[in-house]
Amino acid sequence: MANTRKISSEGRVFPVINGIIMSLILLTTLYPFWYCIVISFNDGTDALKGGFYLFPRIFTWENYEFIFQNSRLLTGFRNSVLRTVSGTLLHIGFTGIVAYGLSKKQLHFRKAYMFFILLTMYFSGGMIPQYLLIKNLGMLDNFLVYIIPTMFGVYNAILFISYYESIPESLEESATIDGAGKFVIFFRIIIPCSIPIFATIALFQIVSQWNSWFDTVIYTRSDTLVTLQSIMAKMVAEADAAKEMNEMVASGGGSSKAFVTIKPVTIRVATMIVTTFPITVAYPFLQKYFIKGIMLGSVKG
Amino acid sequence: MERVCSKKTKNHWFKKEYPYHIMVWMGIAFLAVFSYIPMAGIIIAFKNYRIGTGILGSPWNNFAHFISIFEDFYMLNALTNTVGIFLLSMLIEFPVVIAFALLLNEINNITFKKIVQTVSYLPHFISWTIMAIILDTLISPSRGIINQALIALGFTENGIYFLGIKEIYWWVVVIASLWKGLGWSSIVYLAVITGIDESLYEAAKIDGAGRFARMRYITLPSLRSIICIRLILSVGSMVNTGFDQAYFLNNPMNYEKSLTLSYYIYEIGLIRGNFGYSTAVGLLLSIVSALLMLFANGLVKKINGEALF
Repeated sequence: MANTRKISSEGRVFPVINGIIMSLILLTTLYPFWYCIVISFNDGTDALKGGFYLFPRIFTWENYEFIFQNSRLLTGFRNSVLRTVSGTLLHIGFTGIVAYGLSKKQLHFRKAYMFFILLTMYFSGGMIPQYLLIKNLGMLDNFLVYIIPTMFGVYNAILFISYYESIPESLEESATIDGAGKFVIFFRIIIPCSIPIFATIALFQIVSQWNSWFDTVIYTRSDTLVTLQSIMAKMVAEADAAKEMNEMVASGGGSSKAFVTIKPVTIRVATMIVTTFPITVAYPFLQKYFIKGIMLGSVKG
Repeated sequence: MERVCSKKTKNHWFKKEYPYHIMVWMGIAFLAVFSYIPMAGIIIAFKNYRIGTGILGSPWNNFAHFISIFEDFYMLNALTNTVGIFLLSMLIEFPVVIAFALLLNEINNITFKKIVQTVSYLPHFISWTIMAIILDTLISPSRGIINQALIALGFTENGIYFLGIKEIYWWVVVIASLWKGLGWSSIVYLAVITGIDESLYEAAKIDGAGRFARMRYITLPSLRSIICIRLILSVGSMVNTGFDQAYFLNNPMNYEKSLTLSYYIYEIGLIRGNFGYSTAVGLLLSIVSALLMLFANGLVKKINGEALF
């Protein structure tokens, strides 16, 4: 009797507590994003006062106006889009076709090929030898450095292979009888049959290209090659401890020094919103592909 | 006669297969250049590398770089931080992520569950660059909302400069990483939970097992092997993690606690230009990380009976 009562009270109370916990998680995840959006529409001097608020206290388009008139940020936006589009297309095309060759179980030397390819997942030369290679290939300060070294991904190749293996042989056989070459089969039959895996890997690649910043920092110098992420990386790196302390003193003591840092705060956040916007908006619609991708990986790996 | 015949069959497979080999060889060529050449470049770890003389022209240095690793104060520092942050995040992240997956699974309202999932995965897709900016709006001493709350509650007068206090730096990084990865890391666990046979729960219910008893005796044991795999993988990647966090969050005040191995390699190599030493540290670390992974795998095998390999 006591036992049944315990279960029923557990049954009623638990969902409520669980609901509260989950709502708190929702809130702590969403509020920082919302707060950033609010700051990006807020007046710079006012934002420095800080405080909890749900809507901009002093609404302004100023920050976004600044961003969309700033030629450096526009160059960054152009480069981010360019590297994402071309880098992703190159990656799925190249990795997809290499993986197709590897997916043939009867292929001679397949084991040796796989060994050669898988070994690179566990061993690498490291940062400096990689840097020297890029330098010797003449790709320093060159747009190609964004899209060539990322053309092939071993992990993604494995995902492709496991997908191709599930396509029935008979499809290809009938095409072979019709006299189609292997490359023609790949483009005419395999790609149309593998849209889900191409979409999934394209999405992973889009995110990683869009978010890349380190290659810009170490491999490029010219202003024409900056990306949104690298511009922000620089903004963050420049807002160092000394400035932070200054700001603290300024806001506490109301000194005029505060004006030095006003602009960067709201503009930095507005730039961040512009950079995050495409992914955050597209993401909920593409969620199922991402999850399919990660599941494929965890089953195989 | 026989020879001719075998030659013919040999030609036959090649004729049939060669397009596939062309495809594969494109990948092989790519990896030869972008992975194997850098692997060969590791020899600069054994040389006094100078840009002028090139890799082959530089003189050998009798393991001088490896010897200095053990005399390098910062190396020890970086090692402590990397291991410390790793252990702290294991201790916090694993239980919290698993608890999150368990609780998420208990939500009956499908729409609410979908919303929580979608939102919690979101921070995974932003880079640490953006994380650093979000973090700044949260914990900046003058504007950060957390500090505003602390000031309002009377805990502090001028706000706390969290990133300036080296003693709590590890916590800042671990909590920020948890916020970023909570939802995404829970996906794998959730998938395993959804795959558990429903009849097990039904039988337990009939036997009078409450919600928590069912979690404890059915759900958690089913997660065992995926937890082990995750543990092995994270141990293996330990030395490579923490770069972005160190890059964006380090400052002179917390440097002692924020320097990680991956960041240190970058600093000595590309900032100070000591290519040979940086490569030597990198090489040592990749050997250590391979050994760690094998060790973790062996340990899990002993306890659990099965492991990753």
